[in-house]
Amino acid sequence: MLRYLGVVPLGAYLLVFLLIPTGELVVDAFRDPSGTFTLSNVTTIFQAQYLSSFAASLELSALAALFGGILGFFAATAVVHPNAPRLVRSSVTTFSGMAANFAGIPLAFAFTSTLGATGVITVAFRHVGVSLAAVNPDATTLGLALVYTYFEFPLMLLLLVPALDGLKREWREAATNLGASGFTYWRTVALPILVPSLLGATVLLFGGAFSAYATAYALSGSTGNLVTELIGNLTNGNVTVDPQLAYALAFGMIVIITVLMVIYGLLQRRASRWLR
Amino acid sequence: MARLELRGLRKQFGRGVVALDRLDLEVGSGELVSLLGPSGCGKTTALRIVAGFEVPDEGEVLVDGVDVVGLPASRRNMGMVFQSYSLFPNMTAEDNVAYPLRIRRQPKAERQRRSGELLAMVGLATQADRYPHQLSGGQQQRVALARALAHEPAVLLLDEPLSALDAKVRVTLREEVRRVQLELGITTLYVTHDQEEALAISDRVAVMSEGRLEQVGTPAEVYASPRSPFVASFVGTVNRLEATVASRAERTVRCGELVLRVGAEDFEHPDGTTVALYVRPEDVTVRPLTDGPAPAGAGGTVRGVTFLGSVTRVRVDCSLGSVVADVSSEEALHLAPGEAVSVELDPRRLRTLAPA
Ligand SMILES: Nc1ncnc2c1ncn2[C@@H]1O[C@H](COP(=O)(O)OP(=O)(O)OP(=O)(O)O)[C@@H](O)[C@H]1O
Ligand SMILES: [Mg+2]
Repeated sequence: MLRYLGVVPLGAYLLVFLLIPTGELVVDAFRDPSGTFTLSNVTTIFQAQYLSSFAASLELSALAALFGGILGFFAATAVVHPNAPRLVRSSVTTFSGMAANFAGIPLAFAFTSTLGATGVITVAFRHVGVSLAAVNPDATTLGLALVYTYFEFPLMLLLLVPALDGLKREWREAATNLGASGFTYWRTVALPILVPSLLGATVLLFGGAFSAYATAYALSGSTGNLVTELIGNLTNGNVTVDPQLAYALAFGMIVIITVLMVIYGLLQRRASRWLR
Repeated sequence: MARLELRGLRKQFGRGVVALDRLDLEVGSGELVSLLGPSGCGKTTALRIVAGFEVPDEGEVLVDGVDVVGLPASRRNMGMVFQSYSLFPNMTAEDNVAYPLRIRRQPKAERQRRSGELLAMVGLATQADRYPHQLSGGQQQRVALARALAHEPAVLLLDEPLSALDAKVRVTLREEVRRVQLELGITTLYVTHDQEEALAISDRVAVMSEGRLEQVGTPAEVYASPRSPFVASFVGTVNRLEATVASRAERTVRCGELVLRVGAEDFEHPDGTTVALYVRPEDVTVRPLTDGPAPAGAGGTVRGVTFLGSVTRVRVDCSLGSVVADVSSEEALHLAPGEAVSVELDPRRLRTLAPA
């Protein structure tokens, strides 16, 4: 029993700030304002309007994780490349540590003023006859995904640098010595070894985008259609106040994240067979 | 089987670090040559140049007379075993061994047959489906050896493959490497800083120092007839004594109270010059002075006795200097520190070199 003494603070913390609120939230999702049990909140979220919100949130998160993931992966491989100057590595990781936490109003403002409807880049491109309307961060999912990429890709980089550092030079050299091209080495050795890290990082990226709120809210105000924005609107009452429905939506998010974690766990098990 | 030649290899890292300084070496077809030298003398650099991981500033690497310096490492058809464990952690032992065949798109049945055969050869037939982290260090290096041989390379390169293993495993495994090498008759360049290992398994030993070759010869030659002070002191244990040439014509030197006739070597030092006299501990005889008639050796006193198993190393201070001798442990029972002894050197085994 004494062996568990060390985890008591963590356990207490999780209980107070994660488990109790989550439990409360789940219970409230099944209550009406008077506190009696009901399924109506949860059935409401299956209405087309709310389903489309979930779809939008999922699409945004998938795009942001994809863009951030790919960009972050290549940036990380470049940074750890043995021929990369030391300075590049330290400056890029320092920048990433900052950028990964750059969100909310400042980020929204930066993008609105560059890629927004009257942003400098949008206007500049308009002069040469190219419309950037498709990536307008204030109005399109693609645009918003690009904004999210801004903090997702440095996060991916930070998560992957240690994993890439773990690839031993001998593995590459042994593969080369045995006749493998650089591409073959990546396909047969490096990527399979990295899959667990890549999966873990991608899930984090996805989750980060899925639950992000401040940046999206700052960009679209109360017109946003993401699940987090709906929850915000339903609780702070810009349009209508319906905390019970907000609980149900949050419950829906928890279900989605749980499903995602289960899939992640299964893939992880498969990908890291060789570690056991 | 292939012949490997290194010609005039030069390699400098950054400013001033000359890792290789005109290295010439030949490895005959089916021969095992060890590259032996202290840490930092350029052994790994030489091997990596042969493998294609480094480009020499000057010089050639010839395989059967063809320069391969311009060829990428992946096309040199060589097998390399690395110092630290280089097995792919995401593949079983069998898949590791089959890797070069997979790259060459050989059919699965053939890959399995061949990797099974090679794993059996290194004594790991029953461990085929283990992952590297489930194997001991020695087992991993056996798999690495099998993997390096799977595609029937022209040349086998080993960079201190045993240095991470404990002493006992090192000895069995080096014999295993040699057995496999002889069985396949593969041309092999073996890098090591362990002189005992080099002497034990090589056809010839190439002793390196500071990027240059000091001496190449059979283990017996290098051990018995070192051509430079460096080789004499690096290979095996040796006594280095100071001597003066008494007569060049008679091949005699004066060392302490003794005049010694030097045996099997060219003797070209002018009379009166100071030379370094080298003698191995096993060529030194130490007798207790109480042993009957006064012996011909130099008188001295035992200073230290170290039991090494079958032999005992005895340190004696005498007029020759401080001399270590290996005597059979049975004889050493009569020798204790402080004891007066007589020291004799076997003249046939004496080597003289101009002092470095
Ligand atoms: N990539 C490199 N950059 C700079 N210097 C290097 C590099 N590789 C080797 N050197 C230098 O070249 C010299 C020879 O190194 P090398 O690794 O060939 O020695 P070694 O004989 O293999 O030594 P050890 O027994 O310690 O492995 C050393 O002085 C080393 O510091
Ligand atoms: Mg080395």
